[in-house]
Amino acid sequence: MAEDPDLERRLEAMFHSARPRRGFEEDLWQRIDARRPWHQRLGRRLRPAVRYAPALATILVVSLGITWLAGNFHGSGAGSGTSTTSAGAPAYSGGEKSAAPAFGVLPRIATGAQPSLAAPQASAANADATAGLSFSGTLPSLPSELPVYRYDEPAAGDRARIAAALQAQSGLAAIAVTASDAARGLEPQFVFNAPAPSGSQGGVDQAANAFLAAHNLVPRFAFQLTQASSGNQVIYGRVFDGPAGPIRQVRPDGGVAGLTIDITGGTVSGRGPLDLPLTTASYPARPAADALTAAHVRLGSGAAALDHAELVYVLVVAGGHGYYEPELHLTGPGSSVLAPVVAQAWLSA
Amino acid sequence: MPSRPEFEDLYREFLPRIYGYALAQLRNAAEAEDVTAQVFINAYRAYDRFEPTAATPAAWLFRIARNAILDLHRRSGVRDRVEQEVGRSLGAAPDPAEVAENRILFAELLVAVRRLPDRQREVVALRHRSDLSFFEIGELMDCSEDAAKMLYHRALKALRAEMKPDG
Repeated sequence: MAEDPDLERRLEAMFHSARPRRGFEEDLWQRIDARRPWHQRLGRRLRPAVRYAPALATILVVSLGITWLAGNFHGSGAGSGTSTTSAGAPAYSGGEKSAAPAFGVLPRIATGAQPSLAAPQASAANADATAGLSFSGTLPSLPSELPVYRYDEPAAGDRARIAAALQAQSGLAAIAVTASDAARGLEPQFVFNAPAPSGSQGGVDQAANAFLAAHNLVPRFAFQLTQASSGNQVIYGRVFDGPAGPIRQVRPDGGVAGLTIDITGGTVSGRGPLDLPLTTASYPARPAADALTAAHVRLGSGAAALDHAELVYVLVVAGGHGYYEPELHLTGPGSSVLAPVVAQAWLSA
Repeated sequence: MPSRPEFEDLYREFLPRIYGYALAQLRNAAEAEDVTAQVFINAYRAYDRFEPTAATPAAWLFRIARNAILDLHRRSGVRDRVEQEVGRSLGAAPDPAEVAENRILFAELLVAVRRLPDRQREVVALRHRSDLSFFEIGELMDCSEDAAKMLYHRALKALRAEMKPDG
């Protein structure tokens, strides 16, 4: 029953982004865990080690095989930040092929639901009755390899220094820097509130541009400007360099990722990614039809008819890094599904 | 026959969903956290009695959540004050990051959702956070599937009217 897809998408995104304060989940779990008998707690703690043993063994073997590559990578990591393109990310070169991808096995987006999706046959729509998903549309042609971009998570001290530098650079007092948020797929962000300049003219996009320019906060990454349906927000949606042109970044909930500026009630609020140095590595990609069968993030409930597929980047945070990984973003009225594009062998279980 | 999942798996999967459901119906994040904590402590105590063949984990947990919220409303009369407190709960956070985050992510839409009549607000929160079908939502709210759909339809209509830009 999709009677207002845009409104329902916004509701879905709003509820999906509602999360308790940082630390609440672990604090409460400790309270609950303390009520469990000791043998249940011990058994539970051993489970991850058993579950991930094969993956850890794979990572170890791969790591040994690419030691020299890893050495080269770490040696050039800092330098790669100085040679960034206008996208704020190292330019992708299809010629940079290596025996094994430099970041090793990649983490997957954390999610509870893992629906499968029937791949389309010719032009006919297919439906997987168990998942309630169907796709009818044209799949993009994917290259055999795609770049993955990675940043190192800044420590708390680094974030404090970055916040101080941003305050000095922008002249804004109320500016803060947050850490990556794995659950919401957010990289380290700078967040601010400031009084809106008086007498600003034009639309919200012009006002946002003027404000960012006045405070030296214009994004250094490549972006596509979009205006939110509420009319008082603009989003500088981040795009990455891909073999066939720019590729949009989206959040795990399918929303546009990038710098969001909200101008309402005489206040300008902003939230956007820090300009962190990125390194890149090529990963083998699976065909789009194969990716469909591995759909792993889904918003919306009930049956979903998907009719549009787009190659996008999605942030996955794990192990002190953030990885921008290529995914297929499948959409339809009121529904949004992500499917991994990186070959199965290079994704964690 | 469905097997009983590990309680921690349920906890990790449903914690943000229960929290989002509560946040839409209570005055602020602190109350939503209190209710969420109560839900999972109650659920843990009752987990031995949870029968996966009788109800899905989602239906079971959201029923506990619904009861916890109704109980809170009964005890404190929160419901009558929800609307008056909306502005304060969104605007009083001292941390600029939190203020900006709330403004950007929630403000307008969350205010509109919280202003909906009780049952419309609840059906919207359930529809977008529980993964329950309208049939299950109807069972939870003690009404028919059609009545749940109608409530949702009316809620969307009210939200559209509320969110319509002036002029």
